Amino acid sequence: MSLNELVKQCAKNDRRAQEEIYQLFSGKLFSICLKYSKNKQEAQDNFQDGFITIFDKIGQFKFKGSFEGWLKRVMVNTILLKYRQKNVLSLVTDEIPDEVIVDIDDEEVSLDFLLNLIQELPDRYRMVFNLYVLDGYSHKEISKMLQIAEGTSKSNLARARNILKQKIELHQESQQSI
Amino acid sequence: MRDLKNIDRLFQENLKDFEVSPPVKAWSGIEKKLVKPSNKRIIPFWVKISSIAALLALIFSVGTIYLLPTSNFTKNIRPENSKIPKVIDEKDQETTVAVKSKKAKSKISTPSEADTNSNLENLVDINEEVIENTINKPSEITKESNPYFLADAVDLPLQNNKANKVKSKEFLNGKLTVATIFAPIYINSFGDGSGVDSQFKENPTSGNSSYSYGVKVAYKLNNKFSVQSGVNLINLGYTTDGIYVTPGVSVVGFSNISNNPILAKNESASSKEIDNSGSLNQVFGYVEIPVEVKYNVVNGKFGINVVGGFSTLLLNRDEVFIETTNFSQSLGSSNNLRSVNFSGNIGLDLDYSIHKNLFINVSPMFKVQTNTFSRNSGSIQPYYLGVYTGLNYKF
Repeated sequence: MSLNELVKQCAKNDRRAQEEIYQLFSGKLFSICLKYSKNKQEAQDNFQDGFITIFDKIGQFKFKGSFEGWLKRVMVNTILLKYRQKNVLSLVTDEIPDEVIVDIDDEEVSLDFLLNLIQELPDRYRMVFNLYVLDGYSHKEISKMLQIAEGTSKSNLARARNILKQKIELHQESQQSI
Repeated sequence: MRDLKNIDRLFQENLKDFEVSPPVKAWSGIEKKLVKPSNKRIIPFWVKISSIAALLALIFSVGTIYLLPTSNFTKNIRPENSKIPKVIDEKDQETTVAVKSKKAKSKISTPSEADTNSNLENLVDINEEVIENTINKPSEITKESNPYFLADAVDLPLQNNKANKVKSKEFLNGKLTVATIFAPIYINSFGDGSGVDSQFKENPTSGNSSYSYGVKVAYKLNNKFSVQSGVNLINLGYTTDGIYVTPGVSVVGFSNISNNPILAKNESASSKEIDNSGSLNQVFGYVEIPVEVKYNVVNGKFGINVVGGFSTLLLNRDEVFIETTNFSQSLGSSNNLRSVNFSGNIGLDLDYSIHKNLFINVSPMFKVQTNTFSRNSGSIQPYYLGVYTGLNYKF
């Protein structure tokens, strides 16, 4: 059965087709959840909610563009919606550096370590960092998705970078001290 | 090796395309929360409307059976102005014809005497010799009648009479279906009475097997409901047994027979030996226009439907015969049959698809007539059973 047919079957609430879609995309979508969530437990909750939303709205997919892209957007939006509802005190920073440089050896950091750093970021910073750095959204897009000002998005990103840099350097120091 | 690296790139390289399998139990959690396939279908507004219409049609068709006035069926009183002319055979005073009706010249061929079997043609000018003869004065009739008096045995066992009508049904998936139909019909009736005269209500009566044929058109409203109509011709008959014929010129004035009697056939049997038992056959036909709603119960190659509705019946044939072993005679038409009456119809419709656009259907239908008779018929309520078979074509 082609992907398109699977999607159509899902729209008819065909449980077998739904499971097949799940198996095909669960890895990619769960990784998104891990990046956008605070911890693994929340990632699982968001993953479940996201998939339920996906199957609920799958009939709206018009077969234009990539289905995988559509899935990711639905998943991200589901998560954003959740964290957007929580009020986050936004910190405004005056200086917004374009880039943050760290002095690092690739061997020093594992994927789990980096993922953990992201998850530890405050919700808003985590969202903005993921959207901008990992998923390539512009500040303008992010401002709409999160219903914040573009400037807020930029400052959130800068704060996120700085926090990450500090934590990496902290990590390096602890490693060297051993 | 250590390197100065943009922090964005650090994360991009490591996290952009990584995949992590979710916990195995994640799917079962999702599955539980997925909405069960809903059995509730949204019913379009017009489907509701048509359902209500179907229900009303059913109620109406059943209701007419019980709600229409029944007095017409129970009054056995002859109208005061009904007249029974007495005709005296010129040759033989003993030959009497009692005919109710206007002036008319009737040809009557009768065996006049026991020893003469020849048929006599008598021109009778009835209107000059009218005798007011009511059923309340049976003595006058018997006085006048002699050898060929057709007596209806009031005290003989009983009878009753007719019914009729038709209907049809069918169809499948095409919106429009046209069919030819044919149906054997079995007739009988509820209640006592005779379509010929209420005096026969005690006589044994049986319905004559008959048939109906016509065309049917069905229109599919949706997956479940269809409406169908058509035109059928149907012939019905009722036989009232236990009629006694006395040798002599026949015919008492039956209250519901208006035409002049014609003795159609006279076998050469000696009148002395005539088997004087006979029967009255009332034959009538209708053009039936059914309006029915069909509800689909089982779909597929073999379909089952429930049908309900009513028919309008237009009288197009009406005749009464008397039959004995020796002769039969038309007594004319009955004047108590309503020219328009109705029937309530209910039944099943089984169809079987033999081609994309072609299917056959068999539909056993039960139809009860209402206000068939205008008067003098007892409480008779004809009904009939028909198995309507049709060849259907879908457009």
